[in-house]
Amino acid sequence: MPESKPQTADPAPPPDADDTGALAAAARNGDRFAFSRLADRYHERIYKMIFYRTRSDMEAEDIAQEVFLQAFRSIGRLKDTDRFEAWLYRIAMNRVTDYHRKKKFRSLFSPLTDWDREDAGNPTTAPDQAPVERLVRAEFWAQVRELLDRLSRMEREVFLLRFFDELGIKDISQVLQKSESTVKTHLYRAIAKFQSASSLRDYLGEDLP
Amino acid sequence: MTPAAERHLDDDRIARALVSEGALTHPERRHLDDCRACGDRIHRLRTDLERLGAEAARLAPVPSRAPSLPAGRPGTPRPRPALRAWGLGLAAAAALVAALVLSLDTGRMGPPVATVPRTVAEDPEMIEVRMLAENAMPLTYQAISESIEFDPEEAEGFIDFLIPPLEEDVS
Repeated sequence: MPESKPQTADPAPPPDADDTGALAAAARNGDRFAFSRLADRYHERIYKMIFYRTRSDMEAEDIAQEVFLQAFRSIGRLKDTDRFEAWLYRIAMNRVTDYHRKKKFRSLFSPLTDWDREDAGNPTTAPDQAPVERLVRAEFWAQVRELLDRLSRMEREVFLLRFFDELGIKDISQVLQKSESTVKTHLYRAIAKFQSASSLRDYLGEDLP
Repeated sequence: MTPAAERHLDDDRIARALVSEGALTHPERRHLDDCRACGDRIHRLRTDLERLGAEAARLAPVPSRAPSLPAGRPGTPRPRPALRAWGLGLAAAAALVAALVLSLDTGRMGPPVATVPRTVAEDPEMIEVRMLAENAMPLTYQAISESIEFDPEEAEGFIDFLIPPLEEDVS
């Protein structure tokens, strides 16, 4: 007599691994594996997004960890799973804002300037890099810093989200909670300032390694 | 071509064209369709911006560890962490204020307030101190001085005797 199988409910089909919305929907329903897939997919991008704004690899590691921890706990409240990416970037943006607020407060009690502190954690000063590589990095980030310093806060955020983090206008408007026309206006202005950043454009026009 | 369509796009219009072609006017769009120089400028700008992003990604460090996730299922929040932190903070602040008030109160007042007047009133040394504070002259001299009548003119003459007026010296 053949052994009868126990009656169980059909398990939910595994979400399409390429479909972020489907993974987010599964994670929202408590699927730990789906959330791990999302974390694997976005971790490096979120880490770099934070690095662009803190210029510290150590801070980027810590803040990225906090971002995924918060996302793990709050994904049950995510309404539109197709907007997972914008939602995750929004969490990261809030964490970065918190970081800058705390740093500003700490700087009241410390003689170090912002740039001193950032350089201390900047990988351009890491001893395990070749001198040429270090020089290239230092030169590039100095040029970027010079450009970003010329932008207003909103122009800088929109510019970074569009060209460094590679988000679309709609996603940027959701991350920053501004209208698309506002985002575009800040983007025009930021690009106009980039156009006049001749040394950075010369650098980009060279044959890069 | 109309005069507007003949003019090359300035930096602002080039930036707008890059973000959204809908931001350009109809003559500007027509100019862009026909003008190779403006088309090249937009292309070069787009390429530079793409390179900028690519360079940033290349020259940024990579994370050294994957994020560690807590045990359990995603989407289960901790029990109101913000509220709990606020509650703990408020409780700690209240305890601190209470401790501060109690320590100040104890240090300033010493024994209970109701017992103080009785103790001072009954202490002979304190009675003497209080009397001396009111009038430091010994009781015997107080009795003598009570019988002397004060005459302002006599007092003035005595003072003139001690310290002669300045006019007398001059004359």
